[in-house]
Amino acid sequence: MGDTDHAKTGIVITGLVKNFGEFRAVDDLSFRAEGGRVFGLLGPNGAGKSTAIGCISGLTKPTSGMITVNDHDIVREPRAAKRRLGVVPQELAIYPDLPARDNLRYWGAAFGLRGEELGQRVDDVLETIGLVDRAGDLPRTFSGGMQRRLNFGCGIVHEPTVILLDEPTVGVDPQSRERLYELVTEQRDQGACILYTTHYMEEAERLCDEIAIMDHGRMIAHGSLAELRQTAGEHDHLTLTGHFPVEEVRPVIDAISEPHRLLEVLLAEPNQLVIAAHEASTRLPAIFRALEGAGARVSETTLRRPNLETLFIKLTGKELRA
Amino acid sequence: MTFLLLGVAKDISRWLRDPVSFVIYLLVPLLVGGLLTAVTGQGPTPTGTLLVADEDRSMVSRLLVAALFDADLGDTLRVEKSDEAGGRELMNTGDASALLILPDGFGEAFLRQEPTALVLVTNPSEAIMPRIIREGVEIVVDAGFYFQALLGDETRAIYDAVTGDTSDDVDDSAAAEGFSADITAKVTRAAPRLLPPALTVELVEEVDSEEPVPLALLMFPGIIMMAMVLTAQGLSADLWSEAEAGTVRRIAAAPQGFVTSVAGKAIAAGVLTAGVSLVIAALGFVYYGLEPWLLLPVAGWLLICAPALYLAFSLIQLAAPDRRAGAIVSSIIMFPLLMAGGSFFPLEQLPEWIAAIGRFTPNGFMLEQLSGIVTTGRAGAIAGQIWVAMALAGLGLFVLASFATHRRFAHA
Ligand SMILES: Nc1ncnc2c1ncn2[C@@H]1O[C@H](COP(=O)(O)OP(=O)(O)O)[C@@H](O)[C@H]1O
Ligand SMILES: [Mg+2]
Repeated sequence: MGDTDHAKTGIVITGLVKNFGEFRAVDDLSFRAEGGRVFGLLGPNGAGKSTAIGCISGLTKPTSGMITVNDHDIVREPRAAKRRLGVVPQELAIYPDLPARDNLRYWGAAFGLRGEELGQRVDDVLETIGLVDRAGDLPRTFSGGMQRRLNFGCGIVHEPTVILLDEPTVGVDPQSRERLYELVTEQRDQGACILYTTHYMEEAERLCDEIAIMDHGRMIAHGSLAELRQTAGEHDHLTLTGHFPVEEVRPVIDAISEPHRLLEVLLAEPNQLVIAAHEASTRLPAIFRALEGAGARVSETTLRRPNLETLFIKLTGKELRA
Repeated sequence: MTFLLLGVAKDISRWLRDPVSFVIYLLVPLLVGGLLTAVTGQGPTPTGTLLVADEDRSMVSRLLVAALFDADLGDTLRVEKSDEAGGRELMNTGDASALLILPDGFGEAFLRQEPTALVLVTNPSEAIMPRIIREGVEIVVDAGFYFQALLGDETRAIYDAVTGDTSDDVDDSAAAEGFSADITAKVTRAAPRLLPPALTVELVEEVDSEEPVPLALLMFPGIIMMAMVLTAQGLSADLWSEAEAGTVRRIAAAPQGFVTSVAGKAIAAGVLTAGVSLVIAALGFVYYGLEPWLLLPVAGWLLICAPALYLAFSLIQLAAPDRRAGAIVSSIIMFPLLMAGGSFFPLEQLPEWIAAIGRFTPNGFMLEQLSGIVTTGRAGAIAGQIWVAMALAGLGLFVLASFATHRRFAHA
């Protein structure tokens, strides 16, 4: 892995727009992702994450805006830009009926590796993804997690300096998920710039050095985890499920929140209520009393410290995993 | 280069994991070939029967019949007397190779040097005997014409003397036979100076082939092509597997190699398709006792045709909205192609207008060239330009398929 490559900026996106006909899937997206860091793209299904990844990998033609990978424009110099770019697609992209080792050889060769170097890299990657024992077996006989690892391995045979990972842990058992996290941090520690999309808030919090939150194609928040937590505010989030008379809930909560606006209704639905509260635990009795008076029935209560989830609810008025 | 070779190896190893398909690609043509050969009842050595219906019963017609009986070749060709209705019956049931009808008034017209015609009905399910018979009849008829041109006046006198005599006694026939031998000698001497005959043999359901070739052997190249078309069509569906596996998109994300990946696939498909058809060809070579070394040009031709055929089917798949539609559309196209292209019935035996279309189908064209090698026994039966043209066609299809694959599966 040439160190000179790492001096470059992994990904720079400026004003990216992608329309599918009338529909705008990505709307004015801009960010910068550096080597040696994991950049998280967090957003619910349909936010436009995969579309953005498609544009960065050169598979999808942007409607407007500019993207550079390793300082090369992906549209105007696709070859140079793609040379050290590794893509790990959301859907598996391996041959299920070709032995794991042959899959890796094939994808390595696709990026111009050959001879001894190719053989060496394939061995290294098999080691990295923990599939040495199953190298000769067909991926269709693998567990979902092993297939994901192979899918990951196929994207890094050519030692990319920029790696795009699109929801790599969807449908993966917890153990394999841990293994994938390790793989990602390993690549980051070796200096790669990693763009990681997910709709799991915990995953982003745990893995990402920098996070952009997307919704409806737009970036609604951006920063380090600490910065985003700050944006989320001091307020805890109290999520209540049950039956709520939507019309009456807001006034009664507002009534007990005065004079300092210590409580705020973020979301009021017939079966769910989300309230931002300063030091919520001390206010629970008052809240329950008020709700009871309004004719609500509470069946479950969750109290959350401020996090990305609460930030998302605060910014969009809806749950991330809707 | 590494990538191309790995690409070829990748698909061959993947496809060979499903040997059942290849058994099907092999068995179907063998079965069809075997069935058709059995139905037509034609082995490699033909025998046949010529029915002669003398509706004229004149002196001339009897002479002609006698001359035809001279041509009886025992085991190979039997000549039998019949009447028109009975003869047609036998023809319909397929129990005779040909029926020659000497129509009423034939002798009269013949002697007066008026245009006249014999009717020869041939059996379409037999390729070689009707052909031999036709030539035989033509020779005899020609001889008759020469005879008449030379000795017309004398024969007319004889004819007039015996007019009305319809008896069938042995003496007459014997006399006629002696007579005909005598005349043949004269004709042979005079022949070069004579005008072309005014007599025509009118062929009904004539079999049109340059060389007499046994039907089963005519079927042989069609069977090879059937194996080729089935395999190429079957393998072309793998594009959907690639699309579903996401591998097409992944290769499109590589800096280069997309076109190479399409080439690798076409070569792999070509090798396997040609391989399957070559197995059929080799079996046929053994069965028909053909020169083994002719298998070489056959293999070469199959190898150059197979990738083109695969790519053509790929284009059809790429035009379809999904795997199911691709399978349906390509089958819908494949069966008429096999029909018209001479895989179920030799082109030589199809109605002319279908055969004309068939020769323009890709498989029909490939088949004609293949027939050239198999039936003439000449390794060089396929012209150099045709090899070049086929290679160029393959190249053109490759360029189209590369574009189409990218557009279809690696674009958004
Ligand atoms: N090829 C396409 N044509 C039309 N609409 C598309 C296409 N690809 C994605 N979309 C739409 O764009 C939006 C964003 O999709 P996507 O980028 O896949 O979201 P995410 O990966 O964040 O779940 C969705 O509403 C999706 O339906
Ligand atoms: Mg997605």
